[in-house]
Amino acid sequence: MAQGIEIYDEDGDVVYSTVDVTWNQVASFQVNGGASVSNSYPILSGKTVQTVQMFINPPPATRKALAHTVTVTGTTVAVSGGNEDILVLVLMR
Amino acid sequence: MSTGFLAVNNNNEVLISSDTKNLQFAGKATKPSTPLSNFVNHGGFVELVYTIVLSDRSSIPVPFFTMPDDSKFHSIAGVKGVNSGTLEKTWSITILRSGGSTTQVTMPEVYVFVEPVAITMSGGNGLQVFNDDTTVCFDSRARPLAVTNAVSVVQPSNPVTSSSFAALSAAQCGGINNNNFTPTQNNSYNFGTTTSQPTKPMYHYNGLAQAQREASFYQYVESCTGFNIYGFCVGYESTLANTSTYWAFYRGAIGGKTITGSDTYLKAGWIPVIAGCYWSSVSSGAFLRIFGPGSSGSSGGAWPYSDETINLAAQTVIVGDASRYD
Repeated sequence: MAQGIEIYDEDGDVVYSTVDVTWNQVASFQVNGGASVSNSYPILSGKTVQTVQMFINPPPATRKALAHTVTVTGTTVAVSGGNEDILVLVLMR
Repeated sequence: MSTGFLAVNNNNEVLISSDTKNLQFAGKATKPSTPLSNFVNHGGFVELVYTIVLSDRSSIPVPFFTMPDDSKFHSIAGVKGVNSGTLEKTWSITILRSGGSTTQVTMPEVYVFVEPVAITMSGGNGLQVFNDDTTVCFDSRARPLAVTNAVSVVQPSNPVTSSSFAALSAAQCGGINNNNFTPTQNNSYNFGTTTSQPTKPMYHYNGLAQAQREASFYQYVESCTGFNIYGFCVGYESTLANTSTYWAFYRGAIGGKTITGSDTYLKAGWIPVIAGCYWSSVSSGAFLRIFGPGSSGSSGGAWPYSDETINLAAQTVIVGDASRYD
């Protein structure tokens, strides 16, 4: 490589370099069923943002398990509208 | 950034930043010896619960699964942590897979990524980057997550078309062992050229979408004990009205890999995870249509919502190469 960064492990193998692509974690948090959250992350400005929503418990057979709605507006991530406990990851690159 | 560390890739995207946390390989989650639940009808299904212990309680793991049989459908159904030991947290990762096989070799492998503070590192050399609060946000001793693709997918709203249903018994769920609800509907997505696919693909995909579909079958029977004269029963006449409603509940998933031309496709489809039936039966009878025992009925076993699809929104499939972490 003419320019860039290469990171090696102790065996001398490249584990990470400028040719790689990743999603870095800006935040992770839990949102309970019925709750709403809105957080601002200035670091997201100008970046490609990805959010991940994971159910904590697999949906049960006894009720209508609604996921939350996760929206990204500018640098603000808002989570609302669900009745299940979830985990949210905010990723960027 | 005025102070700190930033490394970007050839596309000027962030690789390492002291303002964020890298997701790094924490290890493979432990496979279950047997499914938590399964059935073989409607194309089959297994629910698999994997576990992994992380050394920090505030960090949330990001699981990726492989598809040993990529014709099957898979998704992440739940990620739950419970404090354990003195400082650890044990995470249970629930994976759903279509197909009835319960052998361990057919179960996906689950690779877990998390911020480096939750990983027990070994070895003395490497590169560490710290956040402002002095926590490690990158540590080269744990292999960082590298992503090969990200594709937004969504299921069709209906997992199955009722026009293909076989006729089932209306009497007291007598056709309970049917296969009418085997999913037939999916959406196909291009995941890039086949030559660019990872050696051992691993996927992060959460099955948030859910659907319930049901089909009712009705039967009406008249019988006459005595003489039937021009449709009029002279004797004891009875009627019986049976209704059985068969149903299945589905979760969203990805799979059904195909290669068309030079490209590889994955489908967003459905896994049936619970199926059942409820029924009612109403009978009546009369002697010469004057006296009779009246009517009776019974029912049982219904789903909390009917013929509905919920949580149907595009979710991103994040793809990596598991062979980098073996």
